[in-house]
Amino acid sequence: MTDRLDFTATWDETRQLLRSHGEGVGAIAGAMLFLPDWVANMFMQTEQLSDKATISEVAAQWQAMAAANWYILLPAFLCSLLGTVALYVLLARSDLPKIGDAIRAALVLLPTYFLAQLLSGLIFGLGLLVLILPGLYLIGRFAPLGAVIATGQSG
Amino acid sequence: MDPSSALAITRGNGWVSFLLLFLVMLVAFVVLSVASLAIKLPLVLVVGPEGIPLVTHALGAFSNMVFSVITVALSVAIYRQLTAQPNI
Repeated sequence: MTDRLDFTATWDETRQLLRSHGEGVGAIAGAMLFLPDWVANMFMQTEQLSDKATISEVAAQWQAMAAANWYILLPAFLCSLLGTVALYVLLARSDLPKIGDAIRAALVLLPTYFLAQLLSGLIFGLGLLVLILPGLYLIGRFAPLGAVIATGQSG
Repeated sequence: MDPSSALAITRGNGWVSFLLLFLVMLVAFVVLSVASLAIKLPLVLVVGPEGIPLVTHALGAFSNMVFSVITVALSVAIYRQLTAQPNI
């Protein structure tokens, strides 16, 4: 395990990953992230929020909007989640270079990824509530979580 | 599979990982905002404050997609670097 994360090497690696898997990343991101989001936003019924609305009024309006549009938001969310896990599999696992294989593996990993994201989100939230800084630090500590799940690495 | 091993991988690199994610997202946000404005502005001037919903929503969805792709790629790169499995 490397001691210190090198900014330049990590950024170079990011670019290299995107270049070498460009076709797969473009196909998965376009079909499973961009399209559902675009379609959901097009068909969602939204009301213009008042400029003078309080936080609780904004929250109530968001809740009402989610309740009125759940049948659009839920499939879009699931599709995006599956697409994200498929991207992790495609980029993190060299043994599954095909898009179909990555999506099949993502389907199996989806519940674990969802639970891990939910738990880490709660931990970030608690950290941010405490003093902000612990939450930011935890975002850094959990940065490779998706890759760990995609590769199936154990402790 | 043990998701808590993410914590073991980033031991001693929590702040560096956060800073890298933050800086890349900040740059991506600025670039996407400027590009989005360059496309939206002529539409707003011609059509009105609503613009063309099809294009406006497409721009929003595209920005979200770019953020997601960068987050995933950066996360995998951090994982590979810290577990000494570089792709390059």
